[in-house]
Amino acid sequence: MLTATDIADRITTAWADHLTRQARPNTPHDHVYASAWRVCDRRMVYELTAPERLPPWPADLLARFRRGDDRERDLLADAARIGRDADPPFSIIGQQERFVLKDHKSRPAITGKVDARILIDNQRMPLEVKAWAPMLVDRIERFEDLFDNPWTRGGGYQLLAYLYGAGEPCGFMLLDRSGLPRLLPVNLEANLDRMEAFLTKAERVIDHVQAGTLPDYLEGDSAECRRCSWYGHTCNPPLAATSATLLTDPELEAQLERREQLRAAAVEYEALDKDLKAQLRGVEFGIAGHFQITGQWGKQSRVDLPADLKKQYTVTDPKGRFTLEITRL
Amino acid sequence: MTNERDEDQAATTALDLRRPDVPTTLGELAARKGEGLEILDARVTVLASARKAGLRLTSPADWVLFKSPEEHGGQVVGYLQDAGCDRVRDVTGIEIFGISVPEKVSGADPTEFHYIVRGSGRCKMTRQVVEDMEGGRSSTDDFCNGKRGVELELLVRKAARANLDGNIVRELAGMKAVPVEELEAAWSGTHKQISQCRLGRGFGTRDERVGGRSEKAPDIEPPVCQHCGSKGVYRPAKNDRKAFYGCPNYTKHPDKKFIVDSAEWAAKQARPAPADVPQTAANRGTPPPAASGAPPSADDIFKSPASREPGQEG
Repeated sequence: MLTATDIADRITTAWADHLTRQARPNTPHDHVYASAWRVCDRRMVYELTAPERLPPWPADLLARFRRGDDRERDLLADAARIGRDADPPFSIIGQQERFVLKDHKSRPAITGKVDARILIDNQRMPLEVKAWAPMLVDRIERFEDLFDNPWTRGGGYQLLAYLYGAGEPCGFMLLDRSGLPRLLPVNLEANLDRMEAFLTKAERVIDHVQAGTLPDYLEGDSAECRRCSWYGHTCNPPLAATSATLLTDPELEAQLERREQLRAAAVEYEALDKDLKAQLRGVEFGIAGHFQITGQWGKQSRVDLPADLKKQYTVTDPKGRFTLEITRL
Repeated sequence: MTNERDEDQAATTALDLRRPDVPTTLGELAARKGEGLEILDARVTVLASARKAGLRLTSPADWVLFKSPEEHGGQVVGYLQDAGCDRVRDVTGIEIFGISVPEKVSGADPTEFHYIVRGSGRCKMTRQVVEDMEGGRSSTDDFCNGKRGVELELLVRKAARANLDGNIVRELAGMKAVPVEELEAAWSGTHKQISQCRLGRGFGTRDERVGGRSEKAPDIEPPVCQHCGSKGVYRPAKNDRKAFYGCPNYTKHPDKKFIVDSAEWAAKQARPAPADVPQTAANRGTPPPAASGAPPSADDIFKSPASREPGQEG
């Protein structure tokens, strides 16, 4: 007789087998999929010419893909219902419409399927639904944030390709979350340089495929190479390395040593200073033991902007903040 | 006679020479007399700090510990695995280049094969270069279990490259046999601990390495080291030496020995434990505590503390 553990194991195995049977094998193709933007041209050539060489997706990953498809279907169904009562009302149309982008040589370069379009205010705006891992989605507040992470960057290019292919200036990325889904507006014009770079990249890759050649190895990004599914078995690039910057100025070393000596006292001083200032806020003149305390009220100006206006004038400088941590080894 | 410009150039050169990646010779340093020693000291300090920073980036899961036999001193060293090498690589600036096409070596059985890949490496910090290093993996390795066909082929090839990368980093960064004390010092102030590392050769049987008991050990509870509280480990008899229990962490208290004769301990365990808790008015009538190892009953947990005062331990 089967134990409960045996039954659980057998059901899990059957589930995995079911998903594996349904998986479609990868086949070579002569154009780039909209979802397949990669940093490395060489990787894109491999994906076009020999995708069958990669091992099949494991059942666990196939299950996650399936969950993503389910979420996409549910979210679009919800959006269609919500649209009837919204102000202004909107509807979900044109699901899975195919598009083809041609390169300068009139070859199909990028192809894809738009998840859906939102018909609102006489505009048919493309919509891409993504059900990424929550830890990825939590870091995304604006469309630009997609390009900060190697795992979401491709999704950004994918939607730009849809907008470009559809000739629509705006669209949306709908991100599934544990709470309310997040709808990110996307403006093609602001990202036109990215889209053009993608198209040029696709053209370059197709040139290599047609010529039967391989692009050079990716340079200076060994982290990307280590992430790549072709690394090691098909592609064996040299690995560059950054190195710690060597600062050998004796004066700097002495300053660091002195800083370390003062650290404990500084921490205590900061805490005490903060505590005392909180206690003594509002005391304009006072005496405590051997100490005289003087305080003065002063003007302070601040600008209270509405959130949307604040967002409009917020500029993010990728190198505006620098966090420094000094650790004694 | 030197002018201001010459002095400036000399100062700049001395500062540059403090960097370990700037080539110099012993003769050149010796010519600088006292300053030469200072330069040498600065270079050594930078290299030691870089090594420590690299070790600090690794995790216990990246290491396998090996122990030399007791008669050879019982030193414990750590071997950095391929995954950990990747973390160290960027600190020391190790570049990998000149990678060969992976070479397949077939075994007797069609499912048994090996892949070998060669490559070279250089360390930007020390300017050391290693050439034609080899990395290899076999289809019979543990990670290949359950894999077949193309998947197995790709997996072995990929692992061979990872092994080559690891071998180059281990060679150039000196991570093949790191004394456990050095690792412990590098991890001080972090949550990483030596006890979280995997144990390899020298730490007993496979069962013992994962915290189990040796097959040869008597089926009794081992004694506990009075110095550090660790469970004693059974050491079987060897030549003239009798079997004994020793402390698995004896390197942490080298001055305090813990050795218990196995036969004596077994005899002691076989005797019934003396009733060393005298009956007093306070404990008379109270049921004895459950034997160690036996789970307490619901009554032990919920009913016996009835007479306990608030705040009293029970």
